[in-house]
Amino acid sequence: MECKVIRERLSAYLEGAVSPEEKRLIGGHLPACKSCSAALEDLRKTEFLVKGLEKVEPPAWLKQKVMARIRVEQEARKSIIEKLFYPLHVKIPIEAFATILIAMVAIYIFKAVTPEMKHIPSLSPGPVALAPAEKAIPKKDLSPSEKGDPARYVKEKEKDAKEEKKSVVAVAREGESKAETTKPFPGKPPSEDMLPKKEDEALKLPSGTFALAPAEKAVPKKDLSPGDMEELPRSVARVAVSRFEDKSAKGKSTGQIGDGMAEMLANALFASNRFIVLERQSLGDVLQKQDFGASGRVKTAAAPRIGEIEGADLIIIGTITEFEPGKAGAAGGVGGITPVPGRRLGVGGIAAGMRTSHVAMIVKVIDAKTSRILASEQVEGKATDIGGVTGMGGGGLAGVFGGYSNTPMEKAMRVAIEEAVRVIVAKTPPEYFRGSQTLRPQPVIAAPATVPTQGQQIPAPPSPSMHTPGPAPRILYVKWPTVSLREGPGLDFKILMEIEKGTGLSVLEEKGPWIRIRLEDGREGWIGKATTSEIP
Amino acid sequence: MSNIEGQPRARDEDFELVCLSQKGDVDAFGALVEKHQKNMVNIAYRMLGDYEGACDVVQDAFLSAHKAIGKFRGDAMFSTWLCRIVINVSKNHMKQMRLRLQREGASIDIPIETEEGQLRNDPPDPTPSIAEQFEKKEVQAKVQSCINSLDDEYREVLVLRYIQGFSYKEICDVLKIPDGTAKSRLFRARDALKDRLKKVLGDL
Repeated sequence: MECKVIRERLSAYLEGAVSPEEKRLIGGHLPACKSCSAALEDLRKTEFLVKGLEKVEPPAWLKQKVMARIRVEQEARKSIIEKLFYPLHVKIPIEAFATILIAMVAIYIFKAVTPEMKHIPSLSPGPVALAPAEKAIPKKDLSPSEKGDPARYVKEKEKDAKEEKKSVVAVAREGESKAETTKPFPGKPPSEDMLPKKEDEALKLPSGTFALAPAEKAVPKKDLSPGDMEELPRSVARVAVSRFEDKSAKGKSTGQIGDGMAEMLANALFASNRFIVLERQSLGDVLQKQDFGASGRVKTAAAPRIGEIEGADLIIIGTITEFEPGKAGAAGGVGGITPVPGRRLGVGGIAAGMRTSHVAMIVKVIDAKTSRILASEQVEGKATDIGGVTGMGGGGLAGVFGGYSNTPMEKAMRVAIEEAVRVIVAKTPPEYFRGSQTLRPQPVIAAPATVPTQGQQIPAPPSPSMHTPGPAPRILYVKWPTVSLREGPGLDFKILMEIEKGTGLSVLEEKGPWIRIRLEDGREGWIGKATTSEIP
Repeated sequence: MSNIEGQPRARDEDFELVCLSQKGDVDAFGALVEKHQKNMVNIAYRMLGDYEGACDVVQDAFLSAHKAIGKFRGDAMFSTWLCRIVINVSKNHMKQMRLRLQREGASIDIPIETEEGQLRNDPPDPTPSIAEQFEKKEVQAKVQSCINSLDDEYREVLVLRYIQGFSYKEICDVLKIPDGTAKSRLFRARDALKDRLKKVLGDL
């Protein structure tokens, strides 16, 4: 019993870590107990054996290896810092910046290319649209009286009504040209007072300046935004978009894709301001008959002529050949901005993963009267979704595509539609565009001291025959001693001639403070309205 | 026979080199490596019983020490601090080895678990009384294998005490355990080792 206790303490005894009393006790016991002394001896030997273990030498390479690894690590640490901050070795930040830059450029280009599309929401008539429109007009101090507002209101109304008409079913050609050529100002005799009331966004000039300034000097004040451009009269073609045939694998079952794409194309064509878009639903039967007729099985005379369709000049027929959404709508949007109702703007969702969506269609432009195919082009839209579909402005998707909202498919469809519009505009022979102006020829800078950047406004070549005159042309007379007749509605347009006071003018068109007139000798041009009067 | 070499006791003679290393002087740290590598390799070797593993452990330990040298405040001596790192890295290394063994299954060269802990898979020596005939190396190998069969906590105190010749205080510093624990652990470790050695070598 005692031996057991003592043996437990032997180690401590050897180490000298026992109390003096214990030491005495153990010291007394050991000589008497052989096994305990043997155990003590074993312990001593154990210590001896362990201590006797030979020291090993570290390998010669150990230090080198340690130091090499330390240097590598330091290098790595340094290079991380270098990567981050040293401009020439920047890697991650450069990629990030490049991505941001590309995104910004893309958004910018997108916005710049399709400014028209963004106006779609504002076309909705009524006070909602009116309110922002009024706000947009800078409060000019030259509005001398409250009388101005009703007049403006009336004009807005008119404009809305006009645009509404455009968008809705088959606008009769007569009515359209009337609306465009004569914008009567009820209750307001054209006089000097008119000038302030007409919002003049193209010419941000007080009336006084306008009246007095020599033509060339007034130029720099002028600033043209794309919005202003839209208000310029452009040549338009009357077009009807037929239902698209869907030959893609996907569409065969539903048949809705063709409808949806046609609708989107119609919207886009309308938004391009180059077309009067006619309702296509009514086309269906007629077209079928015509196709039948065109196929030769029926005598052409028996078939209705395409031209009979509500005055369309062109018919667009499309065939969807591919419709391949990536995984539609599978990814959640990150950081997407809640779409403002009616205005699909904002940074789209950043969808995870990489998906490529693809739309392809063949677009045919057909002369409505002769059924001749004017153009047939394959257009494609492809969108690969890396890091998201961003910044999609513009018109909404057709209803059937709601599920593709904010997906690469949406982008692909848009791209295809945009491409289609581009192709249609480009491939349609110019003679189909009717109106006061042809497709923007680059202006010959003729006017001295004009600012070249204003060149977007194109001198209107006289086109008397194309423009249908209103039923009863308004007659005005030059009030000022001499007035410059210009090629276009603006002070930077070339002066065609000087007109003397009292000359009679028939009004063809109004554009802000400018009116297009025809002289008795048939010459046409633009003059400021304020220089004229109804009284000879 | 005593391998207890003069560890810096009073003032830390590494102080200057440590300061330089802390300021980023790689060569100063190299000098520290040069100076301590032998002790550290021995500690690791006795802990692991595996020379190559010990070299790996010491490399890792020096790297860790270099990374953390900014945090070394001089509360303990540098050698003590370095020891702690080596011991800890060694223990981690052993843990990993054991995990790997569990996953890969045991081979005959690997210590097997017995009631008394790990033992070499050698057959018991048939003639323990002729221990004297054993080559010194073989005895040492046996001693090492006995050390390896001990628990980690016994092993480290034994290594620190008898291989490095640390004082109780230094052992307490390295292992961050109270003085009493260090002592009792050491006594029990020696007892345990004695029993193992007797089994393996017969008469000591």
